[in-house]
Amino acid sequence: MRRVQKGDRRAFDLLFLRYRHKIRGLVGRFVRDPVEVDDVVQEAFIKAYRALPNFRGDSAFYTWLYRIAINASKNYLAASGRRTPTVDIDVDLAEQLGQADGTYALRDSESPEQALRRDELADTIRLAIMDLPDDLRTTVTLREFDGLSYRQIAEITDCPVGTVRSRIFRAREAIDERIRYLVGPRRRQDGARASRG
Amino acid sequence: MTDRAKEALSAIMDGEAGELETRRLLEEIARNDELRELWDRYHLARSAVAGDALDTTDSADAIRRLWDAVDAGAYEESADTVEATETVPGRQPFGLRTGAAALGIAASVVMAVWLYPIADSGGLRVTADPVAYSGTQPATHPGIQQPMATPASISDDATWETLSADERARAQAYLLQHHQRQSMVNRAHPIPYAKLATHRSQPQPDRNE
Repeated sequence: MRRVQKGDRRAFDLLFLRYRHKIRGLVGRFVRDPVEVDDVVQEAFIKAYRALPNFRGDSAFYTWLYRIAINASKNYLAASGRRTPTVDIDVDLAEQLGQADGTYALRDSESPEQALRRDELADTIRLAIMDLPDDLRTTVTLREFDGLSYRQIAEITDCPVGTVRSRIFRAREAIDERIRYLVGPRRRQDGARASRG
Repeated sequence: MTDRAKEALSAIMDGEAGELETRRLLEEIARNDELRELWDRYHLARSAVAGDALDTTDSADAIRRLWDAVDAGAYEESADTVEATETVPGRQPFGLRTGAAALGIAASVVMAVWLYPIADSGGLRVTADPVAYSGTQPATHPGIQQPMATPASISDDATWETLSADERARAQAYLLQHHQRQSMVNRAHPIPYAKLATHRSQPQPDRNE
């Protein structure tokens, strides 16, 4: 953090890499258009970068960034004349939102191609999970679908936390083997172009 | 790319890796295209499972766009405005706007206390009874009316006359409270509240006298 506060862009790259997907998921709860989500995410990070010299560290960096992202989302909604959220949303709650209430905010603004691709990917992942050995399937399901921590999973499955960590990784590797051909670099670039066109 | 690095990547994604391990691997992700693509794919898989729209942007492209925008001067005014949002969990933000609003209300109260004896001697005055402008007088602003509304004229109101003393007292208290709240909610007009607040401390004339 100190490196970033001194203007080290490389250090900020690491923060960006670490939190981009998380912030994107958060913004996606408010902003429907995937392209606009990217713009709001970028705005949040730029604002954070510019304000970082003044970041006092009273709160965790992610909490601070989260607030900036929420404000950027609200500003976006206000600017586009849409209803802004009227209540403050807890960080964890915001991440769970969408899965919990069964509403997927982004779906109705996806192009048919994007929706088809997501469904194709989701089906492939589901099949990959079904084909996993029992121990891996149970562990990754508790993590990805129930959102349990490694410690909680360790208690449920009665095994060390290190084993949970290893099983989740192996499950992800098995899933990645199946989806890699679907999301190769070339295809992802095509997807990015499609989402902007 | 070793399995150890990939396992750490998976743990970081779940927020289950140590700070040192996280920092070391993030630096590796920033340098290593293969690792960064795996990082993006892990997140992509998670988005698909969650039913979110897919994030098809390569992190490296996103970083490039970010710095292009920074260099182009995007959101240069942000440092000051964002600072006000820094809070700790469980604490309400007290930014520049809320601070200015609070100061404004405090200044209004001081001004009202200071000016009240002058205002009461002639010009605009705060109504002695909020009922007076709720039905019988066209008030220009809640809580403020012209001096012609005297307790005597108000007492001519037939509805008011049907109320018992206890009901009148309760109605007065309720309406005073209502206007205080209304003034507080409407931050653009704090002065009526200030005047009401100061007026409340004065002895109230009995309407029926």
